[in-house]
Amino acid sequence: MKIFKFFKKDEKEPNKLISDVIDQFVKIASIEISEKLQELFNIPVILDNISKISISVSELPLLIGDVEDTAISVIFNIENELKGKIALLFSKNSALNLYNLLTQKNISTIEDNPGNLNSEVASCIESVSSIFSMSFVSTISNLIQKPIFTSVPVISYSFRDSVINEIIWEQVNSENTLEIFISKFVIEKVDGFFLYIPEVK
Amino acid sequence: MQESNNKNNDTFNLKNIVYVPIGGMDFNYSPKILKTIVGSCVAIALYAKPDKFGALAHIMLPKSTKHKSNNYKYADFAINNMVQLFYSKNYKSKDIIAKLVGGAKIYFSSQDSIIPDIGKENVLACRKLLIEKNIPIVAEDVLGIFGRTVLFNLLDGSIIVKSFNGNTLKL
Repeated sequence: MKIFKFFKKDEKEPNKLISDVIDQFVKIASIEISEKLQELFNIPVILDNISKISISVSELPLLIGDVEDTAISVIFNIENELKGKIALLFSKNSALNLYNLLTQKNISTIEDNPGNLNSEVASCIESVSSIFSMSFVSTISNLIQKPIFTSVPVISYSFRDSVINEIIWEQVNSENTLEIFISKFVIEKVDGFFLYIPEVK
Repeated sequence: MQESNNKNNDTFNLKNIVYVPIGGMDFNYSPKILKTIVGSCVAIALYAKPDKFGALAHIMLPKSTKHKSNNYKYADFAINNMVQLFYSKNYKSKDIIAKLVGGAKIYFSSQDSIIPDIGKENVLACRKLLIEKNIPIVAEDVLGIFGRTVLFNLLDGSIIVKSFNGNTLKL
């Protein structure tokens, strides 16, 4: 388990108990996701479960990497019992490697022209992200025995900072921190982040 | 500070660059350069030319009232407080100019019609608030579909905008 020193645990969290329960659910769901991905790729999937953190919105991009790098996110809104967002975040290189890995092709760029993501690559990223999302939602749905639905996914592609803004902008609370559940996953040359951000009350 | 002659390829002394994070605000004098990166967020730059004093905010949302929060994440709080900062340094509205960058819609999906265009809402809120304060918006690079890196040079109040599609322009 990887610990980032700048994470600040918020001890005054009023819903700490609920938060801890969600934390356990997310961990269980992460294992389920890992198994699904191993089935899909037929290669080992390493999940680095960083777990629950309270983090300043301005620190999140630092966690994910250089702010001026390129990133692709796939965002799902979750309704019903577990309101919030799930997001998958891939670097530009990881998106390229993921596409080549899944299609057994050897493309060298994921853009049709500068700044414009190729639609086939987008579709590939969306499909893998949907597997993540569905595994997460169905596992937690089974645990709490209540239906949970996700929205259609939305892909954003830009500077890493810009992409992260899209994930968190609705979720930021007045204390300038947000609670976030995050796992880093590694599949051969593909690495990315899985984020669950509960709705801010 | 070093600045090249090519207006689309300005280079800066890295020691002078101050990064403004998401939902943050910073102010300074020349030779500092205030930098931020925006997608649907908006960078609000205010500048007082006589003293080469400027402030840059990175706002995420149009209104703080809905969220009951005082924070530079919100356009209304940011603009009110930035203008008050200039007033506290004895500048009047006529001494201040504003520039806006950002407010893009960086979603790729075809289903994006279900997503509110928060970038546009941010830009509209900033324009309205600045007009109410009698602060002229002298330049903008807003909306569109690409994120932008913003470099606000307090030497002359100019802004270099590096767009995600590779274009660079000077405001």
